[in-house]
Amino acid sequence: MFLNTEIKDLKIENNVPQKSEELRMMRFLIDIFLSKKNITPPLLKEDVLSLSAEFIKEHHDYEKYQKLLAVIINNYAWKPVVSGIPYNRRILLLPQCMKNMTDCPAETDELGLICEECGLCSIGEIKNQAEKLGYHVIVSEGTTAVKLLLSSGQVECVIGVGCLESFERSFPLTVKEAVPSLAIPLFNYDCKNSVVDLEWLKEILPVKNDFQWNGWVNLDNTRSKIQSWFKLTSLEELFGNSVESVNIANNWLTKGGKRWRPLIMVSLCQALCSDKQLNSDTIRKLAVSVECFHKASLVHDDIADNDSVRYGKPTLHEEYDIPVALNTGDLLTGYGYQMIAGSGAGDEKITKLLSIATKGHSDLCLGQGEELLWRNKSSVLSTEKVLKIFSDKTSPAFEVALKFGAVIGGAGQQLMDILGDYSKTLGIAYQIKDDLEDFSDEKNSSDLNAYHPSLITAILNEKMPAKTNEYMIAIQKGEKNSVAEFISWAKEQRAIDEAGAMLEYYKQQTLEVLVGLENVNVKVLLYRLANRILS
Amino acid sequence: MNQNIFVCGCERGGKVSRETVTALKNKLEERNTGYTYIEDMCGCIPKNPQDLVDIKNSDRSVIIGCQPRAMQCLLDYAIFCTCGTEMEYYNADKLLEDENLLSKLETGKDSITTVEYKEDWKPWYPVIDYNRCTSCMKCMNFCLFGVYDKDPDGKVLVTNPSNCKDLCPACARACPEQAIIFPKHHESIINGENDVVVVADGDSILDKIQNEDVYQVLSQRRKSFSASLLKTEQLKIAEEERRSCCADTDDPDCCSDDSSAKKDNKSECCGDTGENKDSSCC
Repeated sequence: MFLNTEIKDLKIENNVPQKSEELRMMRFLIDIFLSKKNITPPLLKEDVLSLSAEFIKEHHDYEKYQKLLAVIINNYAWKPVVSGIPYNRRILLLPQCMKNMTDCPAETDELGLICEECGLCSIGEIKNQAEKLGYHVIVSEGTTAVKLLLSSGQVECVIGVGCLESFERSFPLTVKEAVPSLAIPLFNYDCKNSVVDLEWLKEILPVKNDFQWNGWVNLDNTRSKIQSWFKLTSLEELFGNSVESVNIANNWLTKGGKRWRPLIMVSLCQALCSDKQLNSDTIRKLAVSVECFHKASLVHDDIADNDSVRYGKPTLHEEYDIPVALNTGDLLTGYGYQMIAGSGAGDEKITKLLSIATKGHSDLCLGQGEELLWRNKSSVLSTEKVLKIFSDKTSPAFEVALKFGAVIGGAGQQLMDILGDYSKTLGIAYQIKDDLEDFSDEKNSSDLNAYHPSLITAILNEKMPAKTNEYMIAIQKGEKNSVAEFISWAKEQRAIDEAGAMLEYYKQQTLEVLVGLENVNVKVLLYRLANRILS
Repeated sequence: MNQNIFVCGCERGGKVSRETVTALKNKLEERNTGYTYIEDMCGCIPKNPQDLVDIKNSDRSVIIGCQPRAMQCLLDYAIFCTCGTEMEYYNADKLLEDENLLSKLETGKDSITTVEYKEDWKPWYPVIDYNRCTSCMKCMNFCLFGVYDKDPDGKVLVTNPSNCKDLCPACARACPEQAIIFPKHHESIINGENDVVVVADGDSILDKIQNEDVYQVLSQRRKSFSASLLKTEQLKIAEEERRSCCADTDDPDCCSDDSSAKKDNKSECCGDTGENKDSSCC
């Protein structure tokens, strides 16, 4: 069922009307059509396609321009956002094919053509006008430079000129990074002496509104700030260092990991409020709180799974013993609640935070409980059951982090509900990704064992139960090469491909949950987070 | 501590205005702060450097005049070893606007002395910023009048400042490192006021985009590009300036107007590696 959900592209020509007036008319009609709707970027490909199909129902003449319509619809969605971004944070991308092919005197570097404004083509004039406003202009060939720019994660806004085909290729990237982008198509698509509708371009370049733009949340900067909160000295400020049990807990907190949960929490706060409105001490304590809960659950998980290595080092019960590890997990849970109580977030918010944390805590235990009880039955789970366990086990942690951020940022009920759905599919996708990683390398697959519920194993079991069971028994006994053989068999049976398709499906679901969100800052952030967590 | 203030009046070039110099002198005198007035430092340095010996004999010398970087290179050129001296340089106009800084200038003396410049020659010659000079010899090869020479270590020197043609800054434009300063020139990239130097580095711009601030990388790329355009433009102007200097001289042999013949002519008369120190032919 999952494999068939990919959207099939309609066969559409790279068609652009050859007159400025016609293009202007199209923009005008789309403006009217969309003004009746509530549209918040980024739009998914599916959103754009369904909107253009709807438009065509009203305007049959435009059927042959479906790709162009998609561009205009996407521009409509982003335009208010782009207008709020300062000129000097916008990048204008022009295609090299606009140059005079025979006489262009300009040299190039790896990024593209370095225009001398000689006047032989329109690039110089456009560049000059854009740079006067403050734009950064790149005249590039092909999409390599564009790809690099967009995937740097730093680009805040792009205005691109190109043929419809090139837009189609770079659109997924702009969606993935949720980069505000406007596109202006070339009249031609034969890659030489290209011409752009100057009227359209000149209409777009100066767009500007009074929107107070504080920049998108910079995930890299936020992450490094968060890392500093988990340095030993910072933790000792909160928990002291006079008792050995405290030191064990502190040290455990400093250890590795990507700090996704604090990052999710803090960045959502930032997307909801400006830095000035945020009390940094409250945020720090709550970020530490979500990480305490997470790290506590890891200690207990490692004991339950009998894992001896985490972050490339001995697990806590290996380093000490099981009772000490159990106790440290409990201590961290206590610290988590202590941080909430002492966060200074205000009574009303603290009550909300506590109810979120306790619910997350019990949901997690229920999910974990189901998994533990299954183990005793020594049967392979169905895919549905695996997905449920994935969701029960992983989603609560994401949900707690997201909702903490939302409470502090003062979000309303609509966002709270969306965050619940978002964490469900995100949690499932995250676990599928983890499962795929376990199966990615035959030689180095110590993480693969019969104790973890695995989607790939479940898929195999549905295809060939007897053989799957044989492998499971062999792996459980620790037979030589059993894991490697099992992995290559899973590849042969295309179970890995199927799980990959399901990862894509849940990723897509995660983004689709956001359709109704009206806060652009939050929507863009949640897009980027999902893509980062799942890539 | 032996501390002295030196004010250059730029009397033979007018880089510092009369009014500024007078106002500055008044300010110092109001406060009973003694100073040394140098009529024209550019002139004194090649002609009567011994008169400036106090600059290096002080523990701390404050030099006030045109562009700080130009004055600093000028004093380096005077082969003044100022190593034992704490040096400070101020632009006269900027200093006048800064009451706070002015009030801090103290010498503990109230005597005013003057270093005169009595020569007819209007001092106009290049000074080299050795922090930038790479001894590429482009200036030496570009100049047709034997102003430059090099020492046995290969360091470029301004050996014949008085051979330089009044108001011609062509060699400064030809310098790839912006290391040549004509203190009295009006353009900031030539008189040492503009301190921007574009350093080309080897890192690929694609790497930089991934690892550094994208917007800064793009701004820098644009700056480097305008600088390189400017450089091309500057070289064209330099050729023109040199040509017009040649038109003024009477020696048709050395200073042909035909730029293609330039090199040959030069090697005949001056020796093209500078081994022949006789540059009087030009």
